[in-house]
Amino acid sequence: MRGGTSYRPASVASGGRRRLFIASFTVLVILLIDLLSGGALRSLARTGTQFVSGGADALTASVARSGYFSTRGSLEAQIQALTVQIAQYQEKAAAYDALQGQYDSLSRLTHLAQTLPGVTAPITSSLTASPYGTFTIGAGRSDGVTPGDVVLSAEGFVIGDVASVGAHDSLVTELFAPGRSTNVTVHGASVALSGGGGNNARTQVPRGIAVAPGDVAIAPSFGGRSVGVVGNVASSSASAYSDVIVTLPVDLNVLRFVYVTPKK
Amino acid sequence: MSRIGISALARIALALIGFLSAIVGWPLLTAACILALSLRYRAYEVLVIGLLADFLWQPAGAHIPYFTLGALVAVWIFEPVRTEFLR
Repeated sequence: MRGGTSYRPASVASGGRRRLFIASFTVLVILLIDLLSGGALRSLARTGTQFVSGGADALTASVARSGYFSTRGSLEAQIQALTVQIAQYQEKAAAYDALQGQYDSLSRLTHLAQTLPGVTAPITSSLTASPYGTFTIGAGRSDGVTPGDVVLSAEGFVIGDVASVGAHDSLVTELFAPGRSTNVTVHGASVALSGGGGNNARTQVPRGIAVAPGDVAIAPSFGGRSVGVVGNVASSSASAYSDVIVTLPVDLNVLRFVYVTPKK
Repeated sequence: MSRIGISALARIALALIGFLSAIVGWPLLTAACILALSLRYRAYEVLVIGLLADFLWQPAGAHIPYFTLGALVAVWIFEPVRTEFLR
């Protein structure tokens, strides 16, 4: 047969298939070992690949600094700066609404927030590209981080919680990760938010409850902290429920540091 | 360059892209590399790429390792096609 295709002798195919079977079995054994060891192997993998991630970041930065893409680079820098500014304004506005609406009940929490124990950690991976709604931070067991710790934005919104901890890094699962469910209260109604990824979560509330864009979603399981604001409410007369989209008022693209505090 | 050489180079390039995308966290590119490698080659490396993507981005515990299972399925589901038609 011409080109790159031809029929293959049965003996060759059989040998290759045996090797493939051994490789598949090995992978399953590795998965099992990792499961039984509580994630020791994946922690090693993360530590090992941080050098590659860091190298890629350094390469990108050096290309940007070289001036080769100066026009494009300056425009992107401007856009980035403006995006940061807008994100800060949005976050502050949402935080202001949250505090305004619950002034009495949050005054004690606000006071507590000033003395909240925890550590500030840099984000060491992309927040938007992870296949599982996870990201890594540069603080681990040596910094006192433990699984279940709550990860907050600068304005105190819950971004996620620590899923697994390495020596100097940790994996964080976003609160709005795809498939994740979180119980919250919105405008006095207790509902379960279903994470949709991309900073959004969805829920349904009875039409009788007047949920409006801008209302704050509070998670009792995270110490009554804010987890997002209502971005959109869609209802029709044919349905007894309104579809509510809750968004995190934090632009994860520009977030560089988070605050990690123990879950109470 | 011989045809075998080009084929090997393509395999190495695809594997490298797969590894890098798994590390950087581009799930669609990782999945595309796994599929392309599995379709054309009896590529043991796709199992490692899948495992790496799960190890890096999935919390430890009883979660379904989609990329590893996906790589296993892909590498076996295309086996009859490869065995029959491809060198």
